[in-house]
Amino acid sequence: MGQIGFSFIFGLGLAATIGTVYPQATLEGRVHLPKASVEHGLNQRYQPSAEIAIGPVDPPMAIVYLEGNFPAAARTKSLLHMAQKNINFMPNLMAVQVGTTVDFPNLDDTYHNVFSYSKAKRFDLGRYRKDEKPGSVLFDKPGVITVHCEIHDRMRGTILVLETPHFIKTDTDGHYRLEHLPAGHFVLKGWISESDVRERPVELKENATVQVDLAEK
Amino acid sequence: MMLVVVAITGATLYLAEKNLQAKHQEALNAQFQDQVRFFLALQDAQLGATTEKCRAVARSVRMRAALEEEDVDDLYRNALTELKEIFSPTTAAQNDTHVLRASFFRFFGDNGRVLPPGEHAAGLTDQEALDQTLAPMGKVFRQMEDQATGYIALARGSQPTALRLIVLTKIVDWDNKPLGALVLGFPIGNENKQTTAPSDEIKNGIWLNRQLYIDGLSASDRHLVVQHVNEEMLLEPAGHFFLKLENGPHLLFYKALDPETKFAPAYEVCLYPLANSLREQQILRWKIIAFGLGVLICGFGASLLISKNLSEPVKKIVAGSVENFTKRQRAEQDLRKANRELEKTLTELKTTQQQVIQQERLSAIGQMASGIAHDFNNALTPILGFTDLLIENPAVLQNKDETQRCLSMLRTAAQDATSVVHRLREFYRPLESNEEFPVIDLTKIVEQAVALTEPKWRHQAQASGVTIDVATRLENVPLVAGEESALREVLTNLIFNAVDAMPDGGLITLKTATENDEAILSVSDTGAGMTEAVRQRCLEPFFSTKGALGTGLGLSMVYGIIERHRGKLDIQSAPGQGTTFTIRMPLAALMSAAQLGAAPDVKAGQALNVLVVDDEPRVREVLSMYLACDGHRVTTANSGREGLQRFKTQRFDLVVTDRAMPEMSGDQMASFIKQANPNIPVVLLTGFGALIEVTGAQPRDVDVVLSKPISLNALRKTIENLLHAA
Repeated sequence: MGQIGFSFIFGLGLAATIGTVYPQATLEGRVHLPKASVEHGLNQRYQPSAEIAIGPVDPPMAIVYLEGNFPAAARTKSLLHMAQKNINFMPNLMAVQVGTTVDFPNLDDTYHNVFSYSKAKRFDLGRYRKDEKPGSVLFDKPGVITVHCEIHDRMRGTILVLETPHFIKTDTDGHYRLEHLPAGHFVLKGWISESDVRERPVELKENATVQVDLAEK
Repeated sequence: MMLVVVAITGATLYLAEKNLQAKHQEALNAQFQDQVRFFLALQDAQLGATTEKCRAVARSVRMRAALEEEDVDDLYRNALTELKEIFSPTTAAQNDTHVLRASFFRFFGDNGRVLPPGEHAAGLTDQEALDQTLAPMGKVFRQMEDQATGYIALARGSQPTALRLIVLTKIVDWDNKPLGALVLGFPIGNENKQTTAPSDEIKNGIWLNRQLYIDGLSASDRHLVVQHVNEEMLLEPAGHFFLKLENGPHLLFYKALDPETKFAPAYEVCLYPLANSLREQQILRWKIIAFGLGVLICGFGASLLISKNLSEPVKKIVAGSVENFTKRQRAEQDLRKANRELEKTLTELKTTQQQVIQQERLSAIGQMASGIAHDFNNALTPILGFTDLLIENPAVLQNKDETQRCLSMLRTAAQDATSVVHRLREFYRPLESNEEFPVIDLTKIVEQAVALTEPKWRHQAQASGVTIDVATRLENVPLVAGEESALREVLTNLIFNAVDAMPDGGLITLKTATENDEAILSVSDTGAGMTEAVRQRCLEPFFSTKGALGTGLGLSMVYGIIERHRGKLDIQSAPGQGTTFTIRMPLAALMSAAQLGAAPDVKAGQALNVLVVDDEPRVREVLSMYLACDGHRVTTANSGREGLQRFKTQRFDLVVTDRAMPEMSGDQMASFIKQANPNIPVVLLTGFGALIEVTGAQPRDVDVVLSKPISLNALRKTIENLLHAA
């Protein structure tokens, strides 16, 4: 505990002395991803007569993030998008830092109604079309937000609202690389689904790259 | 002599009693079976729409999302909205027997526990008691398919009102794993059963979980019945036994209501009093004994007296049995009448159920409307784009090829838009009694359709590595009255469907034949076939089994077209057995060969003087150009009044006029023209053309009604026909 506290203070001190220069530790590795789940068709009840292309659901991917006490406002809080395209959320998994606003543009030729009942953020954007102004949501509390479309039951998106500024989405093979990390002891977490969050303690050193794989539990 | 008479009397007595008893029991059994059958059928009909609704609610994204987040408040709030038509928490008597109304509903979480509704009025406020009652169901929903029905008893009580009919529907998450379940409880209507019980001495009840729920039985009687039932009913699905109750012997019938249920099995129980039948037996016994005694006494008397007096008791017996016979007949008649009434109620219920489902579908059609708008917009986009291009860049007009290309694109887009509207029109276009079709040769249509669809069944199929063969067996040459293009569309659609039904290749057979003044045209495939449920629904608009690839409009259009041709469509199919569509159309009366010749190509005929009246300058312009194209001389007028003035000063061979115009309508102008010269043909051109077609209200003084937009060819053809007629 003492050591962690020390490293933490040391890390902070280091960041303070370096000033605007980025910390230079790097973490990379691979998250072993599960196979794609069931095929998601379209509910017959809402089948449109026009031929709207139905795109495939993204294969499973993970969000990898580093937990610890980092100085605030370390990441730019730009406007992010979770679009509706081909009766899918695009992307269907994303991570944002607390305080980020995400908008939900509809790129399909049909209506969508995006909503969430998640505890960290409850919202209901109503129906709008392609050429209308999309609804947007400010995520001000950390948590897992599951996003649904009332009309299309195959659509499902997840937004991880994190306090840490250090996170990244893996590629479809599970590879990730986190750069510009401070040195010190932290916990690396891999979020695959609510029932599958993996973690490993990591020790980062300045100007060094650490390899960490997150295997299945 | 005496011995013979006693023996005969005894034997008669024995046989008659046995016969009567068996007959009576048989009649009661039949009555009970009928009653249970109707009770179940009634319940099925009432539940049909309800179970469908429950499935829809269980699929609702909002329900799933709320359950997933364990957001009980949103769960019950949304459920109250979704279930509004089938849920009323009051326990007051329900007049509407057509739709069952639930008296409570609850959700189970994925741990099998009942989720308390909090402040939401979900019926039955005694949460604790309800938890206890529903607890066993928490285990059931994980093992069942998507839905199960059964019975539960709410609280301690011995009346049927303590029972609820339960519909349990599983809710699964995005990955098809169980998330929870929705349970609805329906009161069991007693009034349904009374309709089948002619005597109020007959008691109905339900046996559930070693408990009897029945009205009007004394405590000791109940105890007796329960004891007997527990001894006798060892999971037998049905049966009956005798019981001696306080007010006499009874016959108890029982039958399992749903032997397949996942819940505690429930039995319908019926108690029939036997007092009446016993009395009848006794009377009969005394009659026969009296008759035997009479015979004996008379046997000791004079043979004269015997022959004289014998006729009396015989008559009486005969009268007695006649009386019995009439009684039984009357009872049977009553039973039949009750059955008929039930049958009627059942039909009504089925209709209502259909209507409810239809409404559900209509809301789906609402969703489709946006899709149709989309098709239409798709067609309009190039029209706007190319016209903009032509208007904004006059330079393009200098380039003849480019202009030609733009124009042909415009025409294709406009034709597509027309066909969208046309497709929709096929649904509402009813049979028009005065619609006259030309006589056509079905063989030719079949050959054309096969050739037209060749890219699909030959090339597309080959591209995906399967072989589809088409065989035609065109026996006769049936002549029918019909619209060639429409019938071709019918065949094209059926062939496309056949191809889609045969992903592994196969054979499509097209046959024509004549039979009993009917032309028969059939399209068979050797493909996947349809289940009975699909077969029944396949003609409905927007019903499709092709997923996103099908519009669900093809077969409804086919049906619409055949109806319009006064034909019949018959579908035979079974899974794995392929499908055969058979079309029967009335044969056309024989016509001369000349009339059967191919329709002559429409060409510009003689030059005419034409008066064109329309308040819309662009329409006037287009019409003038069309007509000038064919060498006609055109005079235009922008109102009915101006048109009449022109008509008075000039000689015309034909008048083409718009209908809705300010000051004077096209109809009025046509009347004036016909008064002046009834030989001048008048063509009414109107945006309401389709409307006139449907309502049949063609104005009196108009020869032809054409609907906008109109093509050059259609106008030519109309003029040609008018001149021929003249």
